[in-house]
Amino acid sequence: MTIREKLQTGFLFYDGGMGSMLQSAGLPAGELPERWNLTHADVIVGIHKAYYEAGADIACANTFGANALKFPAEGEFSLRAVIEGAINCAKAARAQCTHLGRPLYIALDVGPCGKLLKPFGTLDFEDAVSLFKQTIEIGVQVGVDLIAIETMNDSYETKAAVLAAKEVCDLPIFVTNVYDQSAKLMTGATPEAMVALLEGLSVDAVGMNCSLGPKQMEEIFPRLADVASLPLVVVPNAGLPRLEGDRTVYDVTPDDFADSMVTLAKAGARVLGGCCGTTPAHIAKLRERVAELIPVPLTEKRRTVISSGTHALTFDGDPRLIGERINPTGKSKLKAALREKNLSYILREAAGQQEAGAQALDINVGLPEIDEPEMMAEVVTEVQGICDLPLQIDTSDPVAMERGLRLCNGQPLVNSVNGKTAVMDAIFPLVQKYGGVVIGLTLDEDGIPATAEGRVAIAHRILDTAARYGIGAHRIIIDPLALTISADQSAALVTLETIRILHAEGIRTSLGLSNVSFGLPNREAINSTFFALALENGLSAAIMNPYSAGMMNTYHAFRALHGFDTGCMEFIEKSVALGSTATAPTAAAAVAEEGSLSLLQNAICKGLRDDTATAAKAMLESGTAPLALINEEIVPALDRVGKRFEEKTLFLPQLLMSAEAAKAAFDEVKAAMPAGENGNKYTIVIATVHGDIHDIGKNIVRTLLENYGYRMVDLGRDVPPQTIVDAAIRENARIVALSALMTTTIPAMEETIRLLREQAPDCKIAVGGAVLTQDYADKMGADFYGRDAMETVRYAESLL
Amino acid sequence: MTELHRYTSPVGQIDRREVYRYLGCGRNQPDPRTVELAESLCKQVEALPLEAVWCRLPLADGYDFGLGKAGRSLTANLTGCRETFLFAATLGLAADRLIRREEALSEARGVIADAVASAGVEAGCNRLCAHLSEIAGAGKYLRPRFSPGYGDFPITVQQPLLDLLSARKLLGLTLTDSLLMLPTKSVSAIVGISPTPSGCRRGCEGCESLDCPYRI
Repeated sequence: MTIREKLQTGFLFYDGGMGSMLQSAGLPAGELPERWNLTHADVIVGIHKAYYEAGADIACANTFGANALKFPAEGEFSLRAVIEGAINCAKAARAQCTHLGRPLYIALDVGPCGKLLKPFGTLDFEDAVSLFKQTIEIGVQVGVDLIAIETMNDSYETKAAVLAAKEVCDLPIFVTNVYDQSAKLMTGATPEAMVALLEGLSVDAVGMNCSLGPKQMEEIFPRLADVASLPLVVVPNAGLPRLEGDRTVYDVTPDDFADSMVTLAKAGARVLGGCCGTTPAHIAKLRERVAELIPVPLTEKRRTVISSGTHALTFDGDPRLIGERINPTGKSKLKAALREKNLSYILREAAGQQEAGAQALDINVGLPEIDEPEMMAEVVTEVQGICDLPLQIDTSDPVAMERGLRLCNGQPLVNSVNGKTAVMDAIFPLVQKYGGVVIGLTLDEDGIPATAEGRVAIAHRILDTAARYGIGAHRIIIDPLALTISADQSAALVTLETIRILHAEGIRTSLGLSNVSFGLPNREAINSTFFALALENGLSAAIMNPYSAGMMNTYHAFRALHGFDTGCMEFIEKSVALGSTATAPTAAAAVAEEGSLSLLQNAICKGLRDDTATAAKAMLESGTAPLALINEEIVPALDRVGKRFEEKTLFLPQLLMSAEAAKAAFDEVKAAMPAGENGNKYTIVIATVHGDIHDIGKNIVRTLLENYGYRMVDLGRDVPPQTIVDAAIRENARIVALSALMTTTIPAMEETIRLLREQAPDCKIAVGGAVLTQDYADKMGADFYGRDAMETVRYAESLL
Repeated sequence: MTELHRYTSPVGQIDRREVYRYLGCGRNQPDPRTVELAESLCKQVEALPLEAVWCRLPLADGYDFGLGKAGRSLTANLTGCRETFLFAATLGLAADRLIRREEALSEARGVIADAVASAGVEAGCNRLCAHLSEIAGAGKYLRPRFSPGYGDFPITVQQPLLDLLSARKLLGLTLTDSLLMLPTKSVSAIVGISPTPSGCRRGCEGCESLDCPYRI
């Protein structure tokens, strides 16, 4: 019987702890356990054999830490030898256990790689996938029956490992994560989020292991059982670890362990085993007690759910808001930001929409002149670094779609397919592989049907086609399309009727709302009323502008009226928030103080972004030349603030607020500049050096210099020396500014300086960062050491 | 026998003066807008849980606890102690995410959030140490916590220290190749348990970095 068949019909038993058994057998602290596959093969074979004899169906090969980071090519043992050794030990044990008369399986054990992934860490997602692939490829070649991805405490790394497994083989994949007592992964994911992600990726079983003892797992496990359709795995420790001398020991006895495991089996666990501290005695008791139970039947939960790296979002009646702002259609500033790869503008839109109340974010970066797949990858990665909302990947380019789905840290919304066969054939296979809940537009080769019945028919066709790809109806949300009422006054009615019919059939719907009012004045009135009507007809989600007060009012009022808002608390809270904005003192009053300055200078000194932009625009329109505005208004104002900063009568946050205000003025100036001119003084390349991921200090320097009119090329953080040199040459940089915050990254700074001197001798080198001193800077041969951002500005000005 | 213990508790009250010091204000109060932003961020960070693992270890002669030589500064810190607490603590990715989100909204908000989170992890560690002080028992006094990288206590101790505490597995704490802890708002430290109230200098006065921009 195959493992997949066994999973459908009965229990499967994993083995118990390997690391803790090896410690008992004398593995010294600090030695990699996988070495023993080659140096103490007899011990490893003995442990597997003991577990099989105790009742384990599956032996996890001793490959938990077998990856190329721990076993690099130049090391004592090759990665291949270590993995081969591990699997051969398990095979030898299995050969000695034929007398047991039941099928015995071997799992390739895949543990975390030990590095945190970007954007919070340094390891690139695709590099993580390759790392896992290397291990899994060898394991599959040597011969295993399943892939056991375990002890993962990062949802993103979990996804990388699963994709690696899927791309290497067709073997069953069991995934277990480490939850803490608050039922979250270290990176913040809830059980519901992990189930959404892993069911989307179509693994074979999901669950939890390590960290907690069986009693604590009893509390968290039901949350998995409530939402998962897949078989569930539970692999607790024998309690919490404690050190005895230099040994780690665990206290839960085999009997107590088995008691809890019975409870867990009754709550729905199908694959059961032990993690750290469990022994063959634990597994023997576990099998003896659980094997006599009847497994809880598997049930399809059919939940419409998306997720982020932290939480799941269901479409279960309570309407959901999808922020539409990251979509260049009709937004000239976003278009410019995309062309200039100005991610900070895009990230501000992401953070701002979350703050305004969006529950998921649409990500559309399609512009004809940019590399859309590349931009999609970058935006998805960076947005996930600042915002924990689920994403909606929105593109008509299947390549960009795949990049987005791949890099999404969760189960995304897929925007979109429609009734056209070619589109469905391009997108559904991606959804099959990467997961996702798909938005289906009710249009096809013949256009958009004029009637509700026509649109419903397309919806049904989309659902039927999805089903052929194994994508259930609960993973499709239909967008019945809102057409402009100014062109056809029955347009809204048809859309509303379509929503009503689909809702009655139990099909989820979503709508891009704002199109309905195109060409009319007072669009917000139309949009928010249409929103209310659509909600009343059963709309599940809206793709909308969360900055629109009218729409948000409608949404909160609807939830209050429909009993979704307990005690109307949210409605009250939001209304109070709106009220307080209305009564806030006007910016103009706040500006009125420093009388001797122009309105623009005043706004910059006060750090008022919006007022600065307005004042700059007014001056430009009344005839002030763009360059004059920079030199006579912006720079003097910044100088004034900078001087006060240097005198310590004003501090960093205010300096930055002024800098950001000045930037708003600059944006106006740029827009007013004749084509070809940019007013830039010269180019400065700036970066945080290799190995260092602090970038706040570097960003401060960049912003200030930008405001003084320098063209800044920001290479980001953790930048290899040669990349910096190449950029300096390519961009013809006058200054290269380097930042390092840790003593351990100073060598990388030294190396960068050495290469710069060799390859770009004309370049001036400025350094800064918490660990640096003038001494250090001199020793490294830098031209300038900046103690703070203003000093660096003064240095740049001195080179003019 | 040494047990590995887990500790989870909200950060709790953050010392606003520390936030302002990290913002480069020295002993000064910044402008009202900064104060307002800092207040709202402090409330968010104060509610975050500090997750920690700790253990209590006897201190062998020569202050060698399997992590390499203590060095001059740590030896000075531990003089007279026969036991230590070792701990690793983190605010997790929630803090990193918060800082990045604030930074996306504006750089000023970003630096304030960073300062608040730094002060937050210290506040959480102060609470943890108060807890450890109670556990140490009557007649025992805790020395100021001492982290790898302080003085001449090498930062390379980071890896064995985190390994000893199973910090990767239990807290998800990772190290970059340059030995930076990730998530970034994390602390690992050694805390001497002394039989006498210590005359150890704390804070800025106890530090040898005389030209530190944050010194007050």
